[in-house]
This record gives sequence, C-alpha cells and structure tokens, in this order.
Amino acid sequence: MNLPAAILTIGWLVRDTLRQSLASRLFWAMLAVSAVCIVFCLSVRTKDAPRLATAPGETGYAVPKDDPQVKRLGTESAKAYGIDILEGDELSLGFGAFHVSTARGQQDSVRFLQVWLAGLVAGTAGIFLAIIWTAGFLPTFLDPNHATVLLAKPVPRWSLLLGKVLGVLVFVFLQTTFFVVGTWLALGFATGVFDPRYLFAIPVLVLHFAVFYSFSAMLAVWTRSTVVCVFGTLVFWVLCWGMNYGRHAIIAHDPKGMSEGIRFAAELGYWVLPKPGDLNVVLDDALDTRGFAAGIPEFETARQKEKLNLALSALASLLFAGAMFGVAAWEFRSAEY
Amino acid sequence: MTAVAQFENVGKVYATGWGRRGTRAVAGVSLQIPAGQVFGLLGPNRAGKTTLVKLLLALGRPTEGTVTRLGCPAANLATLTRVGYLHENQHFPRYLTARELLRFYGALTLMPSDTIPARADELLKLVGLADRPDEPIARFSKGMIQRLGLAQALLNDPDLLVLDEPTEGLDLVGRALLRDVIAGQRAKGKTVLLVSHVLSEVEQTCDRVAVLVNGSVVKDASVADLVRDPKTGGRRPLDQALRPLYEGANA
Repeated sequence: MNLPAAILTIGWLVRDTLRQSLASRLFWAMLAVSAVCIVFCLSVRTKDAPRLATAPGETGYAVPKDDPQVKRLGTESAKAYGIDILEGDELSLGFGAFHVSTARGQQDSVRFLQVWLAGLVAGTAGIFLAIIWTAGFLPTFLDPNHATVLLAKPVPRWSLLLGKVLGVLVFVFLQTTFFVVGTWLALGFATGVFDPRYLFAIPVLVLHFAVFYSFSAMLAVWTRSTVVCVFGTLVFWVLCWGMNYGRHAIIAHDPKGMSEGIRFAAELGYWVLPKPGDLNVVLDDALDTRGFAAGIPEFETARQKEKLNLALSALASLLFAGAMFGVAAWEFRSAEY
Repeated sequence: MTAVAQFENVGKVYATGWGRRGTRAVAGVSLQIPAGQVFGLLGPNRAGKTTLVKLLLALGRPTEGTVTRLGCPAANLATLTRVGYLHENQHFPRYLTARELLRFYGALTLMPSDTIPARADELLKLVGLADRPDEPIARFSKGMIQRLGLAQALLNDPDLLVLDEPTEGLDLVGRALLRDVIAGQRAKGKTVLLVSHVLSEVEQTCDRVAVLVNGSVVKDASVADLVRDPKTGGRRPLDQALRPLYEGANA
C-alpha cells in the first residue's frame, strides 16, 4: 500500500468535495437556513421580573408560580419565606413582535431555545435534510463516466472513496459548526447568556450524520443510484429508530409471554444497528435538558434499570459506521468499471 | 521488439447476477502492443475493444489469462504513473476550471507538485484552451471537453497513451490536433493505443492494428500490409480491407 499516495489522494478529494459543495446550491441553501435561524436568535430578548433581594453570598431560591410549595403556602407566604416566585418573566421573539410569558428566568429561557434548536432543528430536520442533500455526492462521483479516468490513476481506490466521504463529513461539520456557533453567538449577544454546553451539539450531530451517511455510502458503491441512497437511508433511519425504541420498550414494559428468542433478536438488533434515539439522549444529556423537555418514557425506564449505557451505545454506532465504510471500500476495491 | 502491453489468452465474462449466465465480452485474446508504435484496436460495436482497454488499465479483472502493462501485471498500480488515458465519454466535474482540473488530475497521477502548474499551462496551450484556463468546465462544449481530456491524458508525458474513441466531438481542427499529438508521441518513442471507429484516422495514424470481432482477435497486422491489395499489389482503403472481417460480427 502506498500510504503517501493515499494521503495525498484523500487530501485532494476532500478539497474537491468542498469545491463541489461550494459550487452547488446545496451549500448556500443550508447556509441560508442557518442564517435564518441566526437572525431568529438575534431577534430574541428576555426580561426577568424583579427578584427578591439577596444578601451578599446568599443563593436565591426561585420556583415557578405553579410549584406545589407555592400552592401550599400561597404566594405571599412563600415570598415571606424568601422563596422567589418565577412569574412575569418574558421572552420576546421577532425583535419584539411576539411576547411569551415564561416562568423560567433568563438563563433557562435561552437554554430552552438552544435545546429546541439543537434537538429539533439541527438534530432532526437538519440531519434529515443533510442525508437527502448529500446523498447524490457519491453516486455522481462513482458514475463510470466520471470515475473511470480517476480509477486509472496510480492511487488506491479506497483512498478515492475515503477522500470523498471525508469531504462530505467535513462539509457537514462546517455547516453544523456555522449553525451551532452562529446561533450560540447570536443568542449570547441578544440576551447576554453564553452557555457553552450548547457547543457540545457539534460533535454529537456530526457523529449522528456520519453513522447514517456510512450506510448511504455503502448503498452508493453497491448501486451507484442517488434514489436508492436517499430512500434506502431514510428507510434505514426509520428501521433503526424502531429497533432502538422497541428494545427499550421491551426493557421498560417487560411484556409477558414474549419469547426469549424475540428478546434476544431485539437485543442483537439494538446492539448491531445504529441507535439514533440513544444519540439524541446523548445530546439531551450534554445540553442537560431535563428541566425543559420530557424524555421518552421507555428510554428513561431503560436508563433507570441500568440498561442504557450511552457511552457503549455511541461507540457501537461508531463501530457500525466504521464497518459500513469498510464494506463500501471493500466493494469499491473490487468493483468492475 | 519490446511489448508495452501484453494480453495472454485473456477472457472476460461480465457477471450479470441473480442467477443469470454472465456475458462473455472477450475470449482467448493474445496480443502484444509493441513499444514506440501507434497501435489501433478496431472492431464493430460490442466487439470487446473497450473491455480490453479496461483490463489493460485495471478497471476490471480478466476472468482468464493475464494482462501485462509496462512489464508488470496490470493490477500493479505503480505503472499507471506512466500511462495516460482518454475515456470515450468523459464527464469532468463541471464546477472545476480547466486549470484546476489539470492540477487535480496531475496530483492524482503522482506528478511532483511543483511541475504541475507549468505543465498544465503548457498543455492548455497545446490543446487550444490557453485563453480559457479559468472558465468553469460547465461552459465547455463537447469538443472542448474532449480537448481538455486529451490534455489530461498527456499530463504525465506518458510512455503509454490510451485513447478510447478520441475523435468523439472533435471538429476538423481538433482532429488535426489529435493527429499531431499522436505523431508527436511516436516521434518521442512513446506508445499509443488508439481505439476508434474512424478508419480514416486509423489509416493515417496507426502503424499496426488488431481487429476484434465477437470478442476474439481476427486480424493483427501492420496497416501497410492491410491496405495492400493482394490481387493487384496496389493500395486500397482500410475499410475495404476490413469489411469482410466485420461482416462476421453479430450485429
């Protein structure tokens, strides 16, 4: 194996893929979506209602208006005990066009928005769109009329494939970084709240994408069809979600009468396939979302029963991605052109 | 006579999958491409010409026999640094400019990086694209893309230049340029393998030709021998000499 030639090839293919993405509408479309989100974040304002005064070094204690303690004591009595009642806090969107009353305080209001942006916008819609938009890169590259001359060059085939795949991952990394850092800074400048936990969304989201892109790459080498890559990967995503949820549901509900064989198959499928649900939990944990969004009950129960090991789960998903890229490289190595 | 490329009893069956029988493209081909010559590979459609080119460039593997390129088995990638290849229906990345493309492909040919820019500019001038080096390929006509493909194939000053249907899309000036390039390669002692349907080009440029019909070599002779009329001893057109061979092909 000629390693220097392979490294040089990978470098050139990464560069070429970025050049390709820059030349496509895709790059600018994704950037535009991120820019809209950044402008949305710049439009956010928060206003906290007055709090009870605290002595120097004293930590304030604040609870929402509907907290059981407040209901039991009554608002005035609670205040008399030094408990701050969170009411009258306000979140405004669209540069003051919309006002939402919150009972969270400024810090938590901003974090709520961050959770929404990372989990729903980037973690679900973003990855979904990225899978669709990048699905054509490899089949186009592998088309005989495009690839034949490149394959007649004195470089290992796997390095061509790896370079292209890494190029796509770098592209998604750059887009993700722009989105997350852009919205983080925008929210920070608009509200004064800079919570660094939000930045952890970057590696988690890229890992999530890479896991499913590996399956898309395998399909691309096998079929050289963009349509198969798009639909195959989306169906696979749904299948993995189903397997991930199903396994935790079996743990949580322990259905009577279920055979050991089915339990074993669910366990096997869970560990072999990528775990998009668990990756979302990794993101939720990184952002510490418990105070803002209820987790899926089956996932929570699996965690309570110590059957949800997030580190192992992420590692297994990563191994799956590595195996898929390996299969794709092996298939490409021997593909006839 | 040294052979730059050699096929020894080569056969190729393309697997079709799903339990169907494979398609045989070539069978029992034994052929030598001598060094320093322009060698034409001729034959009707589906005769197996492109399959032989692919086997020579390790784009596929023979089912039977062996293929040798520049003294090494075809699977040995190292000798590809001395090979240039023009594909019959090349699609280049439309987002690159001509200059960027040559630098990219030059790098993948493992040329020293400091020599690529000057060589790229020199070749753009040779193929008549010197005035549009920074224009995206998306704006190029088919003929211009073919010229760029030719420049790409010449980047590493190859010892073996493989041209698969190089006249596709070329106008008269482009064809004259191609003839000059081939003549230049021959003058430098390099070898050219030319796959073409255009017999007039073959007649003008090739020293020797092999004719493939239904996956087998039915003739391997010098052009001078082929165009000599056996009855009169005078010169006859190449297509007249080849017509009886082609008539045996499955349409």
